[in-house]
Amino acid sequence: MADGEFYEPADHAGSDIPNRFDISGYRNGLFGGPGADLFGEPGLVASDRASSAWQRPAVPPQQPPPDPVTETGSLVRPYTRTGGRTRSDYDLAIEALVSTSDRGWEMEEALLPEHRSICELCMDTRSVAEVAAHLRLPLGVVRVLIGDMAGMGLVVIHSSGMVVGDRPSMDFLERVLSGLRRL
Amino acid sequence: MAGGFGVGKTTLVGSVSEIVPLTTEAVMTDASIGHDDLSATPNKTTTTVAMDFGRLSLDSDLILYLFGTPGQHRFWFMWDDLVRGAIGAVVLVDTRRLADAFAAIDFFDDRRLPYIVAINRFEGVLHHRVNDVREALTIDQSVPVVTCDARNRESTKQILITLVEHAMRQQRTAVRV
Repeated sequence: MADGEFYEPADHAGSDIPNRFDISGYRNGLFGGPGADLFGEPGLVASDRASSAWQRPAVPPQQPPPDPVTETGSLVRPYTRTGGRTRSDYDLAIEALVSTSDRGWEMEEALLPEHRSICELCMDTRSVAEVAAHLRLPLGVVRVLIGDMAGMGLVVIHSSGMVVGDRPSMDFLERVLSGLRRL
Repeated sequence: MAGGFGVGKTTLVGSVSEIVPLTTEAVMTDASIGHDDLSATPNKTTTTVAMDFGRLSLDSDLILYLFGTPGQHRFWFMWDDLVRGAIGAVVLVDTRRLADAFAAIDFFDDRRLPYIVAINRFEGVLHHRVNDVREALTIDQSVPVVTCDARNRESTKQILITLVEHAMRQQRTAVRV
């Protein structure tokens, strides 16, 4: 493959406005790999990835950005909605709770249909998994979208604050246990 | 909630969930190459993995999510996601297909995630004695093995209580060591 084409990719993380289908960071998407966040150990699939179909950009260069699509099951590749990015600045757990912020309620900041949908959904606090299920978008895509929105102040991510290392704390387990017994 | 295909994971989740179980999806790409027979669909480069889950509000600010793991081994990349921050796992088994549970048990042992084994009584019939199941699965004596009716809310609630109690015991032991 011609390395020169991607020799100095723009640092996508520095881009101000997310989800503008900016393909300059596509190299990140290529080698970070869409779904890289889903596969756990990056080393395991690294060799496969080199020969994968993902060498194609999610959005072909020189093509005007496609109109954002709100329908699901569309022909648009899932990560088009994130401009090809597969990671967000936030390390979002699948069960992390998300709610719309005051700023998100106004929704004027939410220019993208996906952001608006998430603002509407999260007026009741919901998990990342629920948002993905309701919007019928892959988890990885929703993680990036919600991460962007948190960065823009449109949503608030609630942390349980009760996790020690990888496991819930004893206090937390006690609360869950008494909650279950009350059911 | 882990276990083989058709063992009743979604039923189990649905029996206590306050919402109709939802399905969330992840896109799998190259990992399937070599597993999926792609010769019939040469243009297929992505596969969607679906995972069912339910929700249980325990308090005004405490929501428990129950995830049914995708059964097939090649979908394990999702399991790591689930294990992170999880209280524990329920390995649901059908005694007629015990071997389906081995992979899940190995996985949770490896990740040191607290888990219990729940034997689903299909049509109310318990085909094997609980101790036989424990022996066949060769699991640690400390791991609870219980029977359940995946359709029954009370039964599932008991399973969850058993799991949380087990997770607490395990954590206490870990602190002492």
